[in-house]
Amino acid sequence: MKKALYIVLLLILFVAADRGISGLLNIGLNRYFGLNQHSQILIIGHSQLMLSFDKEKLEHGTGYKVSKYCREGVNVADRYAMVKQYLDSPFCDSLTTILYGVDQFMFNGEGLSANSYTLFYPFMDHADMNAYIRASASKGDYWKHKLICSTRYSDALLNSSIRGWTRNWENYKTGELDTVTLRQQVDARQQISIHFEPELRDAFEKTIALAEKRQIHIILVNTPVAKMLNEYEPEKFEQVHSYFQSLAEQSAYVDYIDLNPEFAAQYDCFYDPIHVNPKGQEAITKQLIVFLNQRGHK
Amino acid sequence: MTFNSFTYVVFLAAVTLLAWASNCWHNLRWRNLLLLAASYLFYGLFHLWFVGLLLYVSLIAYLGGRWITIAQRRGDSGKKELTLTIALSLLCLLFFKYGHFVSKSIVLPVGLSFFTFQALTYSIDIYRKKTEPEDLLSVLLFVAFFPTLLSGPIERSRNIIPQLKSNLDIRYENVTEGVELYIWGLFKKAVIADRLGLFVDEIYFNPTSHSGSTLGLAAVFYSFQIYADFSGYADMAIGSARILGIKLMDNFNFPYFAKSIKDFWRRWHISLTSWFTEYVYISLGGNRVGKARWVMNISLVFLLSGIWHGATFSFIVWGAMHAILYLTEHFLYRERIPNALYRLFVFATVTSAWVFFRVTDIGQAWSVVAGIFTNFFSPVYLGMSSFSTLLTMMLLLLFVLREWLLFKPNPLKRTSWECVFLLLATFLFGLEAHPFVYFQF
Repeated sequence: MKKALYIVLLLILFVAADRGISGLLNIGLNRYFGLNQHSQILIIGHSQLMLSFDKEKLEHGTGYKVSKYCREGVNVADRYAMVKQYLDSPFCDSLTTILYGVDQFMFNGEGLSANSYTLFYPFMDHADMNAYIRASASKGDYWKHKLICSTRYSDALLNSSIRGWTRNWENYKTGELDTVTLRQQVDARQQISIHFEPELRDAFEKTIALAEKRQIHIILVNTPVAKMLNEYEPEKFEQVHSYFQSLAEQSAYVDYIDLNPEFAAQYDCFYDPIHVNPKGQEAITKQLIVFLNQRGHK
Repeated sequence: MTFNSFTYVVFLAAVTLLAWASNCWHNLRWRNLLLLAASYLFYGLFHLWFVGLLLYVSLIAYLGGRWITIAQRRGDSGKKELTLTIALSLLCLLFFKYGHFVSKSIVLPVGLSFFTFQALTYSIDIYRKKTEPEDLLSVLLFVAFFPTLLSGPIERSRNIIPQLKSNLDIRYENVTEGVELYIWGLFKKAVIADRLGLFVDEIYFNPTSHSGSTLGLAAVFYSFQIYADFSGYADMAIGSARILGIKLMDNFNFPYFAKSIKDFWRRWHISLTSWFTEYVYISLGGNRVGKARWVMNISLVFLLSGIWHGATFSFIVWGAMHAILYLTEHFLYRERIPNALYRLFVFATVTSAWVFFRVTDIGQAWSVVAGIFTNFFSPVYLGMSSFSTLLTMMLLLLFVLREWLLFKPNPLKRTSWECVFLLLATFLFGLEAHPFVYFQF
């Protein structure tokens, strides 16, 4: 009897510690992504957009509260789930604008992880996220993460949670783009091609429709990509660019900002061909503050 | 199905329950048939044809034992029969282990090197009259017993078969001890080894592009990776067997706290080292020979140990390096160097030798070692994610500290409470089931 009681005690300790640790990590994550605050602006995108904007400067410069919900490697379907996650939360009532990161590679099926749903394990207690993960993950994986909360966090998520607790949103990607290597790769045709996959386009248009339905402005921000890469497949690049422009022309709720003309050739602003460094981040943030203030969303 | 998977945990729980039930009915034959079926299922899930090899090696061991006994009853020594048994067993191993020189399509089935050596102990022990011939079921189960099947410990028939022929000691103390050992092994593998492996793989993917300090860090990380990986596997194997009430030999005894190279080899991969000592070194005359012959015997044992791991030149160099270190220490070391300093020296030399184990291109391995020693004071690269690498370093420090507390004269033993937190740490910081390093041997 004593032995059985001891085992039960150990199990209770395990469950309590598991839930407790997960709860603490979740608070940090929600704070880091701004998912627990009433914001006027929601930034949705992957690593390119994450590094392009300084959340604190943007808040200071515009006077808006900003939730920066950007995750490395998220595809268009993931971003739809992310928008929905915030819109279904009790914090969405103040939201007026979504800054949505776009680029010429966003309709490529390859490149971004097919397992990107795993990025959302910490939020699987949220009904929509739970349904999204359940539809994507294997049964074993789903139940493992559902039952044992500690399994939901990768190193990147642990890092984000700690940064949330310490309120640290700095861009640590210091360094500059190696243009010589990039030129060699472009000349050797070693770069990613631009594709236009209909499924991803549908998911993207579904996101826009969702924002329009909720009468929320959606600003498509084409984050800068090093010019050499933009010139890699000029016709396809133009096709994607025109598509974004046409969306903005068709809807009063959609705007399109292309940061390429101003920044694509400023190689000292890049960390690598698609990510900007702190210098690039500062310049882009400044430009966006001017745009938002002129647009008068206040 | 590997030890670090959820499927294995379910499998082990099911086998334990069934074995416990058959224990209650006192039907040893049925229980051993059940364990044999479970072991063949465990192995067959990798590839069905692997089971054929396992059966072949087991039958050779069984028949070899019978031939040797018949010959000895006739008054012969049984040497010819033993030679034939060893040759037939090793033929299969040599074909798969070194066959890739002939055809790249020949791959080594996981565990073959381990269970072939384990099977050989049965035939050699019969020849040496250390054990009696056993029935077919016992021999089949001894060779295939799933906790030892894939990467040892390389057991002796005289230790395992008597346990298999009696009631399994499945009781609370053994189960908790086994579970605790299993969790400790899982922590070593998933949290320490696999995390270190990420950095090591990144650096050794292109070692020439990294600074000496980065190569040094990768070398130290690999030392701990291979230890945590292999000893973690051994702990899970020993823990699994303990849950079933079977006691296996230890395979590691804190090798990186060794006070000499000789001491290191008493603590590292004990089951293989003792195998080579018992079945090769002693057969060659051991230390009851002249100095020159003894040097040759030691060198041969280390070279064979290198070749056992693989037929690349770098494994031979690794074996040769250890032979030179062992012999140099034997002839020159007079315990004048302070203990702690010499322990550090032993770790550094063992770590340098591991570079040849990891980087199979011998030229590249030399350039890594040269890079470490000529360019050590240089900026260090912390990998794709410096957060991950720093977290790994912190976990590694905690692991080394825990190992030290287990190693010191009055060891701080593991408790069930600690295991709860180890399990949580495994779920939180561990990586998804990566293959074990020693599966390639």
